[in-house]
Amino acid sequence: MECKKIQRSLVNYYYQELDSPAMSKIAGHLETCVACRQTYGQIKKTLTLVAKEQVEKEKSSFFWQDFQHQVYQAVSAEKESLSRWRGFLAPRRLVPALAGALILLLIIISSPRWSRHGSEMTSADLPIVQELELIENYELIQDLELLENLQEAEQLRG
Amino acid sequence: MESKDIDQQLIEKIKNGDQAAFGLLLEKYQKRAYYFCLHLVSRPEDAEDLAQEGFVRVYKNVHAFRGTASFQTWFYQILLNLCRSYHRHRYLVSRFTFNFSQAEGQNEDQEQSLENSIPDQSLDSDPQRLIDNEKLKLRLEQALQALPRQQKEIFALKHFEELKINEIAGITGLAEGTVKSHLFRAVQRLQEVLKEFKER
Ligand SMILES: [Zn+2]
Repeated sequence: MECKKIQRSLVNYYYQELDSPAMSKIAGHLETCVACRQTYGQIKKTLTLVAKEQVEKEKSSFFWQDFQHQVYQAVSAEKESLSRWRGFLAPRRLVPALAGALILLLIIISSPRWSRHGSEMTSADLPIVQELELIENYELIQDLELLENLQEAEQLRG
Repeated sequence: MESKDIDQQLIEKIKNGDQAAFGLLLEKYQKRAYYFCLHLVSRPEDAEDLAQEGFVRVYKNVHAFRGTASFQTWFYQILLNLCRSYHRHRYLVSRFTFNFSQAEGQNEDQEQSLENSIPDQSLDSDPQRLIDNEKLKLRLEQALQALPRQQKEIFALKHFEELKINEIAGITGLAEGTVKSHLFRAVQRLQEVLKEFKER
């Protein structure tokens, strides 16, 4: 019984993840018990073989320079696209734009030509529809990001 | 000053638009980010992309970082999420394109190339034993990649990143006991591989 309990703690013992009384208790047991010593020897051997260095040889400084370069490039592209969106969707610009577009829409709808040939109207002709689509897309992007974050949070919990 | 406090200072500077601070953070964490991703995805070029994307996300979301957990915890969470998305994507793609015999062939190739590449370091010892050792390492690496997701993540965080169990619990959102039992099972699986290898 004692050995079974000890053996379940040997991985934590290897990584020194036990409090000091437990650490010394196991150390003492390993001195006297051949079976547990053998099990511990196997754990140690396995984990030594899964060594860090085996994954890949140390990368050159060029690799890291290039790595940083790529990050900086991606970050500045990110900054650019963000500032474009923010600039376009800034409330001080968006509100007058939407108001203007709404007035334009009212004029168009109330004009006799359009009320007669309403079916000819396509979304490409209407600036407000385009802008609304743009806003919708932007909200969709935010929603998707939110959704992704939620899923990730759930996975972290689960 | 503790590493944690330095990170916090850097983050505050980045929030204020300090590019140099971002550079310092990048320098400090680039190796860990890359090798951590490499342990989880195993393809070097993909690990590089994922680690880089991790830094881009830090930059993009730095204002959302409140500092309730350490930067290290937050950053590992970002990297974990990226690697998980990567695997989800790869899984979907592989459902349509996976060719089993091709994959089998790859493993054989890897072992074949091992046979050819090892002897140069074996001048003063038994070449066959060295080859066996390298083969065993390869088997272990394959077994590691084949572990269930959570076991693999936790093993990488513990064994390669050398984080404490409580830190891993913070990153993964799991209880410490759960982290320990995933770790135990991962090591058990690796031990089985070692045993099977000896019994061949
Ligand atoms: Zn015992």
